[in-house]
Amino acid sequence: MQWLTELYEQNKRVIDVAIQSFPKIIVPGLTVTIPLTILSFTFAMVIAIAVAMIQYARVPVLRQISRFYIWVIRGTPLLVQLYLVFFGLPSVGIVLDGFTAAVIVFSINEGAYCAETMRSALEAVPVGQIEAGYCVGMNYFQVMRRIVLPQAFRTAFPPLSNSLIGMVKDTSLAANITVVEMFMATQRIARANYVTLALYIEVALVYLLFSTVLTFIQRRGERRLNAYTAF
Amino acid sequence: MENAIIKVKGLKKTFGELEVLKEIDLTVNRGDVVAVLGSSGSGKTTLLRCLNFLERADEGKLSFDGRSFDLASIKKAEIAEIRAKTGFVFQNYNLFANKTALKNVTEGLIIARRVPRKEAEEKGLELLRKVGLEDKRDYYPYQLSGGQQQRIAIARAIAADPEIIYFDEPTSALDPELIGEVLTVMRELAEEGRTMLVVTHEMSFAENVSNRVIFMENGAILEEAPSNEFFRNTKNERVRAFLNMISKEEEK
Repeated sequence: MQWLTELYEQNKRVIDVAIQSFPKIIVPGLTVTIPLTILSFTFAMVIAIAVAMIQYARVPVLRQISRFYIWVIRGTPLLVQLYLVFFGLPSVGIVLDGFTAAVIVFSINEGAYCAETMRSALEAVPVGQIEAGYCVGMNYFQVMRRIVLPQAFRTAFPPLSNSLIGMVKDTSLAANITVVEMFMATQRIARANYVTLALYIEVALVYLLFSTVLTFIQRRGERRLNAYTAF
Repeated sequence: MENAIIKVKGLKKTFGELEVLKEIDLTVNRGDVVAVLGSSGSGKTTLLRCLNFLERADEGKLSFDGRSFDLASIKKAEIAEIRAKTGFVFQNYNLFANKTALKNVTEGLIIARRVPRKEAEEKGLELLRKVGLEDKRDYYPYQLSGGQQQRIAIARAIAADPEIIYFDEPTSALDPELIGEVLTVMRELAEEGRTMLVVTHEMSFAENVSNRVIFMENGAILEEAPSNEFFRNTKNERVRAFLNMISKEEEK
C-alpha cells in the first residue's frame, strides 16, 4: 500500500482536480449531451422512416428528393454541416442558438443514415408475405402496419442502435458551435487547471459509460424482438 | 345461380418481349377441382397470379361470381371485392413471420374483414384443428416444418370461406415425406365440395382428387379434359409425352 500512497502524494493535484471535476463533467453530460442525443435521434427517426417509406413505396418526385437529400448529407462532413448552419446561416438572416443548431444538424444528418438502414430493412421483408397480406384482404396500409413495419424494425434495430451509440459521441462536435456539452465542459476545466491527460481520460470514460448503458438496453431490446426469429 | 364461379376470356400477359400467356380461356364451375399441369415455364403460375391480381394481365375479361371485369383496367375496389371471395395458397407458404400460427389465420379476418377478435379466434382454432395443428397455435412459422407451415397457410386461405381457392404448386417446396400431409388436407377440402384451382406437379392428386385437368404449354391451354379421360386416353401427343416423362421420373 506504500506505493499507492506515494503515487497519490506525487500526483495529488491532478487527482484532486480529476475527482472534483467529475460532477462538472457528468452534469452537462446528463443535461446537455443526453437531451441533445435523445431529441436529435427522435427527429432523425421520424425523418428516416418518412424518407425510407417514400423510397420503398416509390413515390414519384419525393423519391428523387429523398435520394438527393441522402446524397448531399452523406457526402459532406458533419462538422462542416454544423459550421454551415451555426456560423453560415446568420449571414442570410437565420440566427440560431448553438443547441438548436446542433439538434437540427444532428437530426438531418443522422436521418439520412438511418433512412438507408430503414430502407434496406423494409426491402428485406419477403415480397411473398406482402402478397399473402393482399390475398387475405388487407390493403396497402394494413400490410405495412401489421406485416412489413414490425419485421423491418426488427431487422433495423441493431444497426439503429449502432447509430444511436455513434450519435452520443458525435454530440461532442457541438462543442465547436458553443454548446456547453460534456466535452466542452471538460475542455474548460482542463484549460483552467492545466490538467489534460487525466481529464480527457475521465470524459472518455463517461462516454464509455453512456455507451455501455445503451449497449445493455440494446441487448434487452433485441431479446424481446427476437421472439419470432430463430436467433 | 350461375354454375360458373370464374370465366376467363382472352387473358394475355407478356413480360417484356416474352409472351407468357396467350389468349387463355378458362371456366371453373362451383365445386370443381381443377388441376393445372404443364412443364415449368408454361405459364401456370402466372395464370393463377393474374386471376388474383398479383400480376396484372395485359388483356382479357374475367367474370367472377356473375360479375364481369376487364382484367387490364380493373379498379382497386373491384380487386378487393374479388380477393374477398378468393383464397390463395403459395408455393413457399408465405406465412407472416412475425405472427403465430393462430394469428396467421385470424389476421385477415380481424384486420381486413373486421370480424370481432373472439369470433375470429374461434374460427381460427377450428381451422387449425381441421388441418391437425391446434396444438401449434402459439408457434411462430420458423418453429414449424414446411408441411405444417403449408397446412397453416391453407387454413389461412380458407378462413374467410372463399368461393374459390387458388393453389400455386402447394407441395413443390416440400420435402418428399411432408407432401402427404398437405395433400390429405387438400383432399378433404375437395371432398367438402370446395372449388379449387390447383397448379401442381402431383400426378396422383390430379388423377385421383381433381375432376378436371388443364394442360398448359408455352402460355396456352393445350388440352382440357375430365381427369380420368386425361390420364387414360388422351389423344394429344404432347400430353402423352409429358405423362410419359413424369412416370419415368417417378420410377427413378
